[in-house]
Amino acid sequence: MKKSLNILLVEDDMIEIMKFNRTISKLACPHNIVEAKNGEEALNILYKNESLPDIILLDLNMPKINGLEFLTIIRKNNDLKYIPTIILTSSNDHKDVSDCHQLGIAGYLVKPLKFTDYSESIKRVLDYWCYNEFVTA
Amino acid sequence: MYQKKQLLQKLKNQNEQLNDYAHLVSHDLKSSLRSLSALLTWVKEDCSEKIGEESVGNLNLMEEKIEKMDKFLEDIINYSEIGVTGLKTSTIDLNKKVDKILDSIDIPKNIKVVVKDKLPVLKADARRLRQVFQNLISNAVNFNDKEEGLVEVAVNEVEDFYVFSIKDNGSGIPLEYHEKIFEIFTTLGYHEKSTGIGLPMAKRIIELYGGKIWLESEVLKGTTFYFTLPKNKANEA
Repeated sequence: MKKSLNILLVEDDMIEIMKFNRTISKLACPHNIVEAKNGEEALNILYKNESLPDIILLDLNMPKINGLEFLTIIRKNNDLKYIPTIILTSSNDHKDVSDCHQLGIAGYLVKPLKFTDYSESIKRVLDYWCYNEFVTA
Repeated sequence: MYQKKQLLQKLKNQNEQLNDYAHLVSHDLKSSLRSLSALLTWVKEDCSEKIGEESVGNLNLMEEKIEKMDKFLEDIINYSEIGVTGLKTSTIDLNKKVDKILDSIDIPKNIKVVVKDKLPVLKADARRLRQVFQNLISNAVNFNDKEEGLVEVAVNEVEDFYVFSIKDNGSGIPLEYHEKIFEIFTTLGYHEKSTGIGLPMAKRIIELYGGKIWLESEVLKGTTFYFTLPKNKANEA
């Protein structure tokens, strides 16, 4: 059954957050979004919160704890390692792609240049996850 | 001997640093372009009626410029990587590879691309080889000015080399540009997609494999690009 998602969006760029929210606001399904400005903030949210997000959308290039470091940390944490994490980045660098896949990710999305293309990819990704069952604490 | 080794290591480190730097800069610039592009779209969505047709037209022009800058960054990063990051070797069936490339480029209906010969199976870096064929074929397609455009891909074996050719019936290239077009940032046409990096990139890759690239052309009638890849070298590399 299709359901709304709890999403943790880890992204430092204000306009990227606006892009995401604008996309979400036009969807029929009301998702619950929590925003974190970098890996450190995201970890604090995960450590504090009893209810974990269904999925994490993760930017790679961020201040303090970057995407790869964040991914490395949560993959080693027994409570957090199950959370499907989808990379959302403008880097299609081969090393980034292979590093992420090696650590374990649920998707790697290279942000398209045009907003309409971006919106479409986000919609499709979220639509897919809407039909999934998640590990519940 | 020891000194030479040290020097090589130093050079290698510097190369890597430069490559990292190019990645970082291009990543930041690409992110900014994504933001600009989104903001532009929203202005158009939200207030196209208020700002009028002419301003919408200007916004569209801005969007095109942003697209071109994005392509440019992508090309620069690809170009700067050649020779810095190592070559990966895999077995490539060029027939399949070229078919795939033809699927991926926009070919207008009035232009036909024909693969005349059965192409060889090579051992080389798949990504790099694709860039060579893709750049040459898309140039032949994009700059074709004929009502019935024709692009032919062929191969000959000459001793230890494969000689590939990509022939078009486009506008031709005057002799004085035959060398210049392989220099970076040189473009002859005003095609929206051309950044002046395609041919220098092809040249750099071909030379990395010990091959050569050159052209024969007749103005108004068409151009044939030739390039060689050594059979043995391509096998070993």
